[in-house]
Amino acid sequence: MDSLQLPYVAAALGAGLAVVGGGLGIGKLASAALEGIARQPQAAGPIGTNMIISAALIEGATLIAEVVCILIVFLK
Amino acid sequence: MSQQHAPDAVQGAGEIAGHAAEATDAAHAGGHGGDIGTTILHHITDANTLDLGFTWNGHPVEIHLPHLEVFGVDMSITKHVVMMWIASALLIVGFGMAFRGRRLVPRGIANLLELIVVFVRDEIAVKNIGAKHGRRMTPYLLTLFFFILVCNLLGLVPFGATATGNVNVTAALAILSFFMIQLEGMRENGFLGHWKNLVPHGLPIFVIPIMIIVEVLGMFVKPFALCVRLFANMTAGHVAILAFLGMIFIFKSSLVAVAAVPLALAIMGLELFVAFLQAYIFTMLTSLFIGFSIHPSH
Repeated sequence: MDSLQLPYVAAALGAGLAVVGGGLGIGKLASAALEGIARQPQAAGPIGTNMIISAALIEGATLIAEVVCILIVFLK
Repeated sequence: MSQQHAPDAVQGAGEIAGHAAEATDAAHAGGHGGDIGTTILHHITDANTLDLGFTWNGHPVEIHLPHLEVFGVDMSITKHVVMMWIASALLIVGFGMAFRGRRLVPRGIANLLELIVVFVRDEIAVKNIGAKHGRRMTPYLLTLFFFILVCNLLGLVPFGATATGNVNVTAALAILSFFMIQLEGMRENGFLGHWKNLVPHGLPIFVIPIMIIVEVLGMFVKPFALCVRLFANMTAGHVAILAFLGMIFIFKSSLVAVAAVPLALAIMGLELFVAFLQAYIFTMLTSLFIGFSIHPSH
Protein backbone atom coordinates (compact mmCIF):
# COMPACT_ATOMS: atom_id res chain seq x y z
CA MET A 1 0.00 0.00 0.00
CA ASP A 2 1.60 3.27 -1.06
CA SER A 3 0.79 6.66 0.35
CA LEU A 4 -1.45 7.41 -2.63
CA GLN A 5 -4.07 5.13 -1.06
CA LEU A 6 -4.02 6.94 2.28
CA PRO A 7 -6.98 9.23 1.50
CA TYR A 8 -9.18 6.22 0.90
CA VAL A 9 -8.02 4.60 4.13
CA ALA A 10 -8.69 7.84 5.97
CA ALA A 11 -12.15 8.22 4.46
CA ALA A 12 -13.12 4.65 5.27
CA LEU A 13 -11.82 4.90 8.84
CA GLY A 14 -13.54 8.22 9.34
CA ALA A 15 -16.87 6.94 8.06
CA GLY A 16 -16.73 3.96 10.40
CA LEU A 17 -15.65 5.92 13.46
CA ALA A 18 -18.37 8.51 12.89
CA VAL A 19 -20.97 5.78 13.25
CA VAL A 20 -19.40 4.70 16.56
CA GLY A 21 -19.99 8.14 18.05
CA GLY A 22 -23.50 8.47 16.65
CA GLY A 23 -24.49 4.96 17.64
CA LEU A 24 -23.29 5.41 21.22
CA GLY A 25 -25.07 8.74 21.53
CA ILE A 26 -28.36 7.51 20.14
CA GLY A 27 -28.09 4.32 22.22
CA LYS A 28 -27.79 6.36 25.40
CA LEU A 29 -30.71 8.48 24.27
CA ALA A 30 -32.84 5.41 23.56
CA SER A 31 -32.04 3.86 26.93
CA ALA A 32 -33.06 7.04 28.75
CA ALA A 33 -36.26 7.27 26.72
CA LEU A 34 -37.17 3.65 27.35
CA GLU A 35 -36.52 4.04 31.06
CA GLY A 36 -38.76 7.09 31.11
CA ILE A 37 -41.52 5.20 29.34
CA ALA A 38 -41.13 2.29 31.75
CA ARG A 39 -41.49 4.62 34.70
CA GLN A 40 -44.55 6.41 33.34
CA PRO A 41 -46.27 4.58 30.46
CA GLN A 42 -48.82 7.33 29.88
CA ALA A 43 -46.01 9.73 28.91
CA ALA A 44 -44.95 7.41 26.09
CA GLY A 45 -46.26 9.80 23.42
CA PRO A 46 -44.30 12.94 24.29
CA ILE A 47 -41.23 10.94 25.32
CA GLY A 48 -41.25 9.12 21.99
CA THR A 49 -41.63 12.32 20.02
CA ASN A 50 -38.76 14.01 21.82
CA MET A 51 -36.65 10.90 21.38
CA ILE A 52 -37.17 10.93 17.63
CA ILE A 53 -36.30 14.62 17.40
CA SER A 54 -33.12 14.20 19.44
CA ALA A 55 -32.14 11.14 17.43
CA ALA A 56 -32.52 13.10 14.19
CA LEU A 57 -30.31 15.89 15.53
CA ILE A 58 -27.57 13.52 16.69
CA GLU A 59 -27.79 11.66 13.41
CA GLY A 60 -27.38 14.98 11.62
CA ALA A 61 -23.99 15.42 13.23
CA THR A 62 -23.00 11.84 12.34
CA LEU A 63 -24.05 12.34 8.74
CA ILE A 64 -22.09 15.60 8.49
CA ALA A 65 -18.98 13.53 9.27
CA GLU A 66 -20.01 11.00 6.63
CA VAL A 67 -20.38 13.80 4.08
CA VAL A 68 -16.84 14.93 4.86
CA CYS A 69 -15.60 11.40 4.20
CA ILE A 70 -17.47 11.23 0.90
CA LEU A 71 -15.94 14.58 -0.06
CA ILE A 72 -12.47 13.14 0.56
CA VAL A 73 -13.14 10.29 -1.86
CA PHE A 74 -14.82 12.25 -4.60
CA LEU A 75 -12.81 15.45 -4.51
CA LYS A 76 -9.44 13.68 -4.31
CA MET B 1 -50.51 -11.94 8.34
CA SER B 2 -48.31 -13.09 5.44
CA GLN B 3 -51.02 -12.00 2.96
CA GLN B 4 -50.74 -8.49 4.35
CA HIS B 5 -47.01 -8.32 3.89
CA ALA B 6 -46.92 -9.99 0.48
CA PRO B 7 -48.43 -7.11 -1.58
CA ASP B 8 -46.10 -4.61 0.12
CA ALA B 9 -43.15 -6.84 -0.55
CA VAL B 10 -44.16 -7.24 -4.18
CA GLN B 11 -44.58 -3.51 -4.57
CA GLY B 12 -41.28 -2.86 -2.87
CA ALA B 13 -39.56 -5.46 -5.01
CA GLY B 14 -41.08 -3.80 -8.07
CA GLU B 15 -39.59 -0.47 -7.06
CA ILE B 16 -36.26 -2.09 -6.39
CA ALA B 17 -36.47 -3.79 -9.77
CA GLY B 18 -37.06 -0.37 -11.28
CA HIS B 19 -33.96 0.90 -9.57
CA ALA B 20 -32.01 -2.22 -10.51
CA ALA B 21 -33.04 -1.80 -14.14
CA GLU B 22 -31.86 1.78 -13.92
CA ALA B 23 -28.56 0.64 -12.46
CA THR B 24 -28.12 -1.93 -15.22
CA ASP B 25 -28.77 0.54 -17.98
CA ALA B 26 -26.67 3.27 -16.47
CA ALA B 27 -23.88 0.77 -15.93
CA HIS B 28 -24.02 -0.26 -19.56
CA ALA B 29 -24.44 3.26 -20.85
CA GLY B 30 -22.66 5.71 -18.62
CA GLY B 31 -20.33 3.52 -16.61
CA HIS B 32 -16.84 2.52 -17.61
CA GLY B 33 -17.52 -1.13 -18.25
CA GLY B 34 -20.14 -1.35 -15.51
CA ASP B 35 -18.16 0.40 -12.79
CA ILE B 36 -20.42 0.45 -9.78
CA GLY B 37 -18.94 3.64 -8.33
CA THR B 38 -19.69 5.59 -11.48
CA THR B 39 -23.20 4.16 -11.58
CA ILE B 40 -23.97 5.18 -8.03
CA LEU B 41 -22.52 8.62 -8.69
CA HIS B 42 -24.64 8.92 -11.83
CA HIS B 43 -27.75 8.20 -9.78
CA ILE B 44 -26.99 10.55 -6.94
CA THR B 45 -25.74 13.63 -8.77
CA ASP B 46 -27.48 16.07 -11.00
CA ALA B 47 -27.33 15.65 -14.77
CA ASN B 48 -28.35 17.49 -17.90
CA THR B 49 -30.35 14.54 -19.14
CA LEU B 50 -33.48 12.84 -17.86
CA ASP B 51 -32.59 9.18 -17.90
CA LEU B 52 -35.75 7.25 -18.77
CA GLY B 53 -34.22 4.04 -17.64
CA PHE B 54 -34.65 1.74 -20.58
CA THR B 55 -32.61 1.16 -23.70
CA TRP B 56 -33.68 1.25 -27.33
CA ASN B 57 -31.43 -0.55 -29.80
CA GLY B 58 -28.63 -0.54 -27.23
CA HIS B 59 -28.76 3.18 -26.63
CA PRO B 60 -30.23 4.45 -23.38
CA VAL B 61 -33.36 6.51 -23.86
CA GLU B 62 -32.70 9.94 -22.45
CA ILE B 63 -34.29 13.35 -22.72
CA HIS B 64 -31.64 15.99 -23.17
CA LEU B 65 -32.60 19.01 -21.16
CA PRO B 66 -31.93 22.55 -22.40
CA HIS B 67 -28.85 24.43 -21.31
CA LEU B 68 -29.73 28.01 -20.39
CA GLU B 69 -27.47 30.80 -19.30
CA VAL B 70 -28.76 33.99 -17.71
CA PHE B 71 -26.18 36.81 -17.46
CA GLY B 72 -23.37 34.29 -17.31
CA VAL B 73 -25.02 32.26 -14.54
CA ASP B 74 -25.71 28.67 -15.48
CA MET B 75 -29.48 28.30 -15.16
CA SER B 76 -29.80 25.19 -17.29
CA ILE B 77 -32.69 22.89 -16.60
CA THR B 78 -31.32 19.75 -15.04
CA LYS B 79 -32.79 16.55 -13.67
CA HIS B 80 -33.21 17.95 -10.18
CA VAL B 81 -34.85 21.12 -11.49
CA VAL B 82 -37.41 18.98 -13.30
CA MET B 83 -37.98 17.00 -10.10
CA MET B 84 -38.60 20.21 -8.17
CA TRP B 85 -41.06 21.34 -10.82
CA ILE B 86 -42.85 18.00 -10.58
CA ALA B 87 -43.00 18.35 -6.78
CA SER B 88 -44.39 21.88 -7.04
CA ALA B 89 -46.93 20.84 -9.68
CA LEU B 90 -48.04 17.87 -7.55
CA LEU B 91 -48.51 20.11 -4.54
CA ILE B 92 -50.35 22.88 -6.38
CA VAL B 93 -52.63 20.48 -8.23
CA GLY B 94 -53.10 18.20 -5.24
CA PHE B 95 -54.02 20.88 -2.75
CA GLY B 96 -56.06 22.77 -5.32
CA MET B 97 -58.15 19.75 -6.18
CA ALA B 98 -58.49 18.56 -2.60
CA PHE B 99 -59.80 21.87 -1.30
CA ARG B 100 -61.79 22.79 -4.38
CA GLY B 101 -65.13 22.96 -2.60
CA ARG B 102 -63.78 24.92 0.37
CA ARG B 103 -66.28 23.26 2.63
CA LEU B 104 -66.03 23.77 6.36
CA VAL B 105 -65.74 20.02 6.88
CA PRO B 106 -63.23 18.59 4.40
CA ARG B 107 -63.98 15.50 2.35
CA GLY B 108 -61.71 12.85 0.96
CA ILE B 109 -58.00 13.46 0.67
CA ALA B 110 -58.52 16.96 2.12
CA ASN B 111 -59.04 15.24 5.46
CA LEU B 112 -55.50 13.91 5.48
CA LEU B 113 -54.02 17.15 4.19
CA GLU B 114 -55.94 19.18 6.76
CA LEU B 115 -54.67 16.86 9.48
CA ILE B 116 -51.08 17.55 8.49
CA VAL B 117 -51.70 21.29 8.04
CA VAL B 118 -53.27 21.59 11.48
CA PHE B 119 -50.39 19.57 12.93
CA VAL B 120 -47.82 21.95 11.43
CA ARG B 121 -49.81 24.98 12.56
CA ASP B 122 -50.46 23.88 16.15
CA GLU B 123 -47.53 21.67 17.07
CA ILE B 124 -44.78 23.36 15.11
CA ALA B 125 -45.68 26.98 14.39
CA VAL B 126 -47.77 28.06 17.37
CA LYS B 127 -45.86 25.99 19.92
CA ASN B 128 -42.46 27.38 18.93
CA ILE B 129 -43.30 30.90 17.81
CA GLY B 130 -46.30 31.77 19.92
CA ALA B 131 -49.93 32.31 19.06
CA LYS B 132 -49.62 35.80 17.62
CA HIS B 133 -46.87 35.23 15.06
CA GLY B 134 -47.26 31.48 14.71
CA ARG B 135 -50.29 31.68 12.50
CA ARG B 136 -48.57 34.27 10.33
CA MET B 137 -45.52 32.03 9.79
CA THR B 138 -47.60 28.93 9.11
CA PRO B 139 -47.79 29.32 5.30
CA TYR B 140 -44.00 29.47 5.01
CA LEU B 141 -43.55 26.50 7.33
CA LEU B 142 -46.20 24.52 5.47
CA THR B 143 -44.51 25.25 2.15
CA LEU B 144 -41.18 24.13 3.58
CA PHE B 145 -42.65 20.95 5.06
CA PHE B 146 -44.63 19.80 2.04
CA PHE B 147 -42.02 20.76 -0.55
CA ILE B 148 -39.23 18.94 1.28
CA LEU B 149 -41.52 15.95 1.89
CA VAL B 150 -42.59 15.59 -1.73
CA CYS B 151 -39.05 16.11 -3.02
CA ASN B 152 -37.80 13.41 -0.64
CA LEU B 153 -40.54 11.01 -1.64
CA LEU B 154 -40.00 11.56 -5.38
CA GLY B 155 -36.55 10.11 -4.93
CA LEU B 156 -38.01 6.79 -3.79
CA VAL B 157 -40.29 6.40 -6.78
CA PRO B 158 -38.90 4.56 -9.83
CA PHE B 159 -37.28 6.92 -12.36
CA GLY B 160 -37.33 9.71 -9.80
CA ALA B 161 -34.43 11.62 -8.32
CA THR B 162 -34.11 13.33 -4.96
CA ALA B 163 -33.87 17.04 -5.52
CA THR B 164 -33.17 17.53 -1.82
CA GLY B 165 -30.19 15.23 -2.25
CA ASN B 166 -28.52 18.08 -4.07
CA VAL B 167 -26.63 20.34 -1.70
CA ASN B 168 -27.56 23.38 -3.78
CA VAL B 169 -31.27 22.78 -3.20
CA THR B 170 -30.90 22.31 0.54
CA ALA B 171 -28.56 25.30 0.70
CA ALA B 172 -31.23 27.41 -1.00
CA LEU B 173 -33.83 26.22 1.50
CA ALA B 174 -31.45 26.94 4.39
CA ILE B 175 -30.69 30.43 3.04
CA LEU B 176 -34.43 31.12 2.80
CA SER B 177 -34.85 30.01 6.41
CA PHE B 178 -31.88 32.19 7.42
CA PHE B 179 -33.54 35.23 5.86
CA MET B 180 -36.84 34.38 7.52
CA ILE B 181 -35.13 34.12 10.92
CA GLN B 182 -33.31 37.43 10.57
CA LEU B 183 -36.21 39.33 8.99
CA GLU B 184 -38.76 38.15 11.54
CA GLY B 185 -36.41 39.09 14.38
CA MET B 186 -35.88 42.54 12.88
CA ARG B 187 -39.59 42.99 12.23
CA GLU B 188 -40.45 42.18 15.83
CA ASN B 189 -37.60 43.78 17.77
CA GLY B 190 -36.53 46.55 15.41
CA PHE B 191 -33.34 46.57 13.38
CA LEU B 192 -30.99 47.46 16.23
CA GLY B 193 -32.99 45.57 18.82
CA HIS B 194 -32.52 42.35 16.90
CA TRP B 195 -28.75 42.62 16.99
CA LYS B 196 -28.82 43.68 20.62
CA ASN B 197 -30.77 40.54 21.42
CA LEU B 198 -27.92 38.49 20.03
CA VAL B 199 -26.00 38.71 23.28
CA PRO B 200 -27.72 37.96 26.60
CA HIS B 201 -28.10 40.82 29.02
CA GLY B 202 -26.51 41.01 32.40
CA LEU B 203 -23.13 39.57 31.55
CA PRO B 204 -19.72 40.75 32.82
CA ILE B 205 -18.21 43.16 30.32
CA PHE B 206 -15.23 41.04 29.37
CA VAL B 207 -17.38 38.07 28.35
CA ILE B 208 -19.35 40.08 25.79
CA PRO B 209 -16.78 40.04 22.91
CA ILE B 210 -16.56 36.24 23.15
CA MET B 211 -20.33 35.97 23.29
CA ILE B 212 -20.66 38.16 20.21
CA ILE B 213 -18.30 35.91 18.25
CA VAL B 214 -20.05 32.78 19.48
CA GLU B 215 -23.53 34.08 18.73
CA VAL B 216 -22.62 35.34 15.26
CA LEU B 217 -21.03 32.01 14.45
CA GLY B 218 -24.11 30.26 15.78
CA MET B 219 -26.30 32.46 13.58
CA PHE B 220 -24.58 31.05 10.52
CA VAL B 221 -23.96 27.52 11.76
CA LYS B 222 -27.63 26.80 12.45
CA PRO B 223 -28.86 27.14 8.83
CA PHE B 224 -25.68 25.41 7.65
CA ALA B 225 -26.52 22.45 9.86
CA LEU B 226 -30.07 22.43 8.48
CA CYS B 227 -28.68 22.30 4.96
CA VAL B 228 -26.14 19.56 5.53
CA ARG B 229 -28.45 17.45 7.71
CA LEU B 230 -31.13 17.24 5.02
CA PHE B 231 -28.63 16.73 2.20
CA ALA B 232 -26.65 14.06 4.03
CA ASN B 233 -29.72 12.13 5.17
CA MET B 234 -31.17 11.98 1.68
CA THR B 235 -27.93 11.17 -0.11
CA ALA B 236 -26.71 8.61 2.41
CA GLY B 237 -29.94 6.63 2.23
CA HIS B 238 -29.85 6.45 -1.54
CA VAL B 239 -26.17 5.50 -1.58
CA ALA B 240 -26.92 2.67 0.86
CA ILE B 241 -29.76 1.33 -1.30
CA LEU B 242 -27.68 1.55 -4.48
CA ALA B 243 -24.68 -0.01 -2.75
CA PHE B 244 -26.70 -3.01 -1.62
CA LEU B 245 -28.11 -3.52 -5.09
CA GLY B 246 -24.66 -2.94 -6.53
CA MET B 247 -23.37 -5.88 -4.54
CA ILE B 248 -25.20 -8.06 -7.04
CA PHE B 249 -23.11 -6.55 -9.82
CA ILE B 250 -19.86 -6.57 -7.89
CA PHE B 251 -20.11 -10.27 -7.17
CA LYS B 252 -21.56 -10.89 -10.64
CA SER B 253 -23.88 -13.54 -9.25
CA SER B 254 -27.65 -13.66 -9.02
CA LEU B 255 -27.43 -15.55 -5.76
CA VAL B 256 -26.41 -12.40 -3.91
CA ALA B 257 -29.80 -10.98 -4.83
CA VAL B 258 -31.43 -13.28 -2.27
CA ALA B 259 -29.75 -11.28 0.49
CA ALA B 260 -29.33 -7.93 -1.24
CA VAL B 261 -32.92 -7.27 -2.33
CA PRO B 262 -34.54 -7.77 1.13
CA LEU B 263 -31.81 -5.62 2.69
CA ALA B 264 -32.37 -2.90 0.10
CA LEU B 265 -36.12 -3.20 0.71
CA ALA B 266 -35.62 -2.70 4.45
CA ILE B 267 -33.42 0.33 3.86
CA MET B 268 -36.02 1.72 1.47
CA GLY B 269 -38.59 1.44 4.27
CA LEU B 270 -36.20 3.31 6.53
CA GLU B 271 -35.77 5.92 3.79
CA LEU B 272 -39.53 6.40 3.71
CA PHE B 273 -39.52 7.13 7.44
CA VAL B 274 -36.45 9.36 7.12
CA ALA B 275 -38.17 11.36 4.33
CA PHE B 276 -41.01 12.30 6.67
CA LEU B 277 -38.72 12.78 9.65
CA GLN B 278 -36.28 15.09 7.88
CA ALA B 279 -39.07 17.26 6.48
CA TYR B 280 -40.47 17.54 10.01
CA ILE B 281 -37.05 18.26 11.56
CA PHE B 282 -36.22 20.99 9.01
CA THR B 283 -39.57 22.67 9.57
CA MET B 284 -39.46 22.33 13.35
CA LEU B 285 -35.92 23.68 13.66
CA THR B 286 -36.76 26.62 11.38
CA SER B 287 -39.77 27.46 13.53
CA LEU B 288 -37.68 27.03 16.69
CA PHE B 289 -35.03 29.46 15.42
CA ILE B 290 -37.70 31.93 14.33
CA GLY B 291 -39.23 31.67 17.79
CA PHE B 292 -35.85 32.31 19.43
CA SER B 293 -35.33 35.27 17.13
CA ILE B 294 -38.72 36.82 17.91
CA HIS B 295 -38.78 36.11 21.66
CA PRO B 296 -35.20 35.91 22.87
CA SER B 297 -35.39 33.67 25.86
CA HIS B 298 -32.16 34.78 27.48
